[in-house]
Amino acid sequence: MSEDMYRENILDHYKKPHHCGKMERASCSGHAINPFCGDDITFYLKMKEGAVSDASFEGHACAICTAAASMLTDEVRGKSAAKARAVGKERVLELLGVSPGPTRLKCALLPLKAFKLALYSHLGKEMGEKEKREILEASESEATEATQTSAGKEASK
Amino acid sequence: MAYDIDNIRHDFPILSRKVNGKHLVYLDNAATTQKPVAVLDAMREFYENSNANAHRGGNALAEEATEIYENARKRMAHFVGAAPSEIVFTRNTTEALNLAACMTAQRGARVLLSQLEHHSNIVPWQLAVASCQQSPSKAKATQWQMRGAKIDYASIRSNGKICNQDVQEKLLRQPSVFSFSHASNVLGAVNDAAALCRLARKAGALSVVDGAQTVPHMEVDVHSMGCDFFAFSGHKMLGPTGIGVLYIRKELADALEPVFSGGGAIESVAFSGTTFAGAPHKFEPGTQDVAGAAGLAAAIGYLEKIGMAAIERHVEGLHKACVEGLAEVGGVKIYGNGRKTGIVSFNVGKLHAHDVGQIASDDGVMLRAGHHCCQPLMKKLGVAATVRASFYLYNTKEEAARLSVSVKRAKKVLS
Repeated sequence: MSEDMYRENILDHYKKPHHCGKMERASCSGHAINPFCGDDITFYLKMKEGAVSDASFEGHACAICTAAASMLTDEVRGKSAAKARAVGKERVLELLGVSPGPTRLKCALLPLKAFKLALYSHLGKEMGEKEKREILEASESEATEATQTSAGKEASK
Repeated sequence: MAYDIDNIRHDFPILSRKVNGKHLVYLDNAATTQKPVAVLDAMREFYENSNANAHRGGNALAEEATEIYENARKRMAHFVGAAPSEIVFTRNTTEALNLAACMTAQRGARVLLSQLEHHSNIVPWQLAVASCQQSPSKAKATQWQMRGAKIDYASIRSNGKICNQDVQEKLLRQPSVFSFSHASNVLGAVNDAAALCRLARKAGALSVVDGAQTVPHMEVDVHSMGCDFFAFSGHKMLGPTGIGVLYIRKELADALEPVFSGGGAIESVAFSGTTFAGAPHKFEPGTQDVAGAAGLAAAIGYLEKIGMAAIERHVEGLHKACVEGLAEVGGVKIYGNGRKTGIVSFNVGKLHAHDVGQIASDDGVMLRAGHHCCQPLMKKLGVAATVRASFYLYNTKEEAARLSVSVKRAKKVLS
């Protein structure tokens, strides 16, 4: 994981993130935090005719997390809800082009979690078990950080 | 006597390894320290020559194992100024604090802590005094909430120390226990534990001191400190992981009911009831970590050979060099003053602590980046995370300089 985590594409997205900022009149939003390091991402979606017409994010996070969020907005814009829903862990790591160790994996997948929470709140569906595992296993420490998580969620409301 | 750093470093095999092709610079000593050959040898020697179950059976090997285990207790007692019967071996500081909480605070009791505390000196108290409820929502079934805890938190001063005046005021609410850290694992400043324990005693509260960050760095005398309980870990003072200590003042050790019991902790057992063994054995049920105790005794021997005063001086010098080096980098904010315990917590401009920690790690410099198990303190400091460098007896000024170089590189890469 040590080799070149801060490669050019990641640094580019970190220094000049795409679609960064709160979205006015978003169709839905999702908020996720990593209590381990305080990374905090809110993902906004605008849905039109069953597709993601716009996506943005805001928050404060490390370079890996910020870059992943920025890349994810590019990735899901214009996709149908079904195709956007299919974007998973592998795709995010492919976009980043690195394979982070267990600690930084949490940073890399946090935006995906925020995005999925937003999408599912719009679709009114529950996340599938496999999907939940895939995304949540990376942030499993949250289970033991209940106070912080719920406090964070209250703050976002 | 001159401080022979080359010889000292030679005693720690891990210090000669490389990480990412670069010489290892280990600056995460507040998390755990490296182990000298003497400690590894003592453990190997025990398993190769004397392995048997201490305090079980009268065979020659069992007697040897018992002697090794009890000798470790004596050495530890001497090291921190206690009597052997006041030294209870635990797994680590956290277990020691959990035991102290279970033995001194019942549900509904009022407890005083401080804003400096590590999660391990907050959560055990919440668990002891609050009622614990599982979240009613199925989706959050793994989340538990603790409610109704009557816990006060003494404030801290800008220098990172507990405010004695606030302690005095909060003691007026008559908590049954005051538990606080001798030095914070984030800010490093050393509290005047003797004065704080005196305040607690005057107010009729028991005192519990978390000494995980001080015992490795300075002379500690629990009797002159006047605390009722004192908790620390072996692995932060060159010893192995898996063994720690809870000091319990004699009168209390004799009077308290154990939390756990079983074999080895009793005098006699009948179906109708049990007579416990005397302290400390009544607090140590089951087979104990004899190899760990052997390693810990060797660690104490190593520290005593160098001398705690010499270690303290050496670490203070490294702390100063580190702070000066970081000041030269520019844009580095340092939190608190960990001079005596060798802790430097900092952030670099707006850079995320994780990124700085990662880039340093790529350079072979091991730091800690995160909330250091102190979320409430982080909130108080107004940050999500900090980077922490923590020095120990085998570190050098060259290593402090390597840290500055890495921080400089992080600034360059990320901005």
